[in-house]
Amino acid sequence: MSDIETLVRETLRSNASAYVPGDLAEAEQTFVAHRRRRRAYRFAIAAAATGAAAVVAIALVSTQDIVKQDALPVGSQSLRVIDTVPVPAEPLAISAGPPGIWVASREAGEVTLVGRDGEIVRSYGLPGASEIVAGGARAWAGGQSGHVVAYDEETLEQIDFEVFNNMSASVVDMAVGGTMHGAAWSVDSAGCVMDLTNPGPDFDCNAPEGFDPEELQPTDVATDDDETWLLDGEQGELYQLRADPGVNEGRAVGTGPVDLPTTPRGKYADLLVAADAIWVTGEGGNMMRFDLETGERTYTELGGDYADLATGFRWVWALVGFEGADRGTVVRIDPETGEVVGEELTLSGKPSDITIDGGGASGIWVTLRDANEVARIEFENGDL
Amino acid sequence: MIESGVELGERAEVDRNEEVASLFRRHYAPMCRLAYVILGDAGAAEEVVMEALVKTFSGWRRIKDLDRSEAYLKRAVVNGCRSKIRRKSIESRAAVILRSQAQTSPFATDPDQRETRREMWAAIQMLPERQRAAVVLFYYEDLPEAEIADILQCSIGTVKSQLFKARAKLGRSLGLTDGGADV
Repeated sequence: MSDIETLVRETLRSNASAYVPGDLAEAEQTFVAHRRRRRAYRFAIAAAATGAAAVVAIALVSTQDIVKQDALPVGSQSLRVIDTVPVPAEPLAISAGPPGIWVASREAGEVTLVGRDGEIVRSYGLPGASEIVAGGARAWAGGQSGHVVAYDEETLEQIDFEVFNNMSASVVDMAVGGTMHGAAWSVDSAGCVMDLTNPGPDFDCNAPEGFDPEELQPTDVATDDDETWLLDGEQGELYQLRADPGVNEGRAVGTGPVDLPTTPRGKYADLLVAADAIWVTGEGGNMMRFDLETGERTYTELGGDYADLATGFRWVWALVGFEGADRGTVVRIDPETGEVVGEELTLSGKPSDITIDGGGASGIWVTLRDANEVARIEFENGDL
Repeated sequence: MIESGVELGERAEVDRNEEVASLFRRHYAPMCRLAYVILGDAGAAEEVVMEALVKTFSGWRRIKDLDRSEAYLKRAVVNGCRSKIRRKSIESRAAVILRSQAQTSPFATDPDQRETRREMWAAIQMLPERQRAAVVLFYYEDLPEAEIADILQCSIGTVKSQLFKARAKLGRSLGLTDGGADV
């Protein structure tokens, strides 16, 4: 072992020995409280939605008074638009991050950061800006010709490396992974799939290994802490992806189409991974919830012609759109059952994308493509 | 006496909570130390570990897989640390270095040795996040390269190259040569 290696080892160990973690009992209390709170809402949803006595009993035993504090408002609270903010022309995509709400406006060729007070914080030029996703202290935006840029959410500076320019065609969707992956996935209309935070050695676009890139037409990518999923909406096929450490660094490796032959499909199909389930919407406003634990599939008709999905404030939300119509609706969905809950909210101005600002607690945000605005929404009683 | 479904559910829930509490007590301090040597910041380390523990032990799917909990947890902690590092600006990283200088281990009593370790600690904290994680997992956790590759979601070759680059960088920072270490 070299001198450097010995010194590195000794340095790390001596510093680790000198560090004493905070009080264990206090940390355990914090842990138990956080864990209960996270789990309580699942029980509360199940109990409220089904009314099943056994579930209620277990919920009360498991979570005690926390269930009462965190019980979901179920029923008829109406949603309302609190505010609308003018943004550059043709806002197509929206995503909430720590500094505010990011909006991609295609016709104006701009990415705009809107503060929670409705003021424009900053604008950036990006020709053909059509996708935006925030996560992992960055916001990632996709424009025309596969051009992708990132913005540092602390400094608000644009990070523009050459590697980000290598998507081969228009970016159709992006997603940021959770703790397990910490990755930013991007897919384009030519079948290119890339983990932008961990690109392959030659920064090549990669179709999932084992699948013909000519045939793959990805329309959506989604992640949670454990999994990354890719949807080919035209074919109605779903792929599970992983970065294979033994084969190709950072390459998207397909584990095959998941056996979901009746997946809703269509060029505007949307994909969400939330509440231990995969959610897919397709043409005709059909939605499928695939439970990752039980394998159970449930179907819901949302109406409209297509639907975008988002999750936050303990619910799944759908923005239902209508081909050739100016209007759209915001629908609240029970994450455990897939059932529509409460009243829908109708919006005009061609609603095109939805994001939930759970972290900033400012509500639901929707882009109004023809009105060149973004709308902020919450319950009429101010409670989300 | 035959237990009802609800009673069985209650008992299973209590058992599960006890098991999770026991895992928490077993893993909390070692994971904090792991996060600390990556981040060089005690507060940030404890924050990352708490978040990783809550995420790992809150989902039903993961709780069913308790045998693999340590591997899940280690990956969650390392990735949490890497995200944290990415979020830090150059200025805040410099602040960590300054703090870390004040926290250097008291166990090196020789002033020269203490100074060298202080410089090495500062140099480690300046490594890019992936190199830093690889160095800590290899030299502190003593993990084999394959396991490091699994945690960092990269190839074994990348782990080797990251360690090589890290050693070269650390050597340059301290004016030392690597001595041909073959990792």
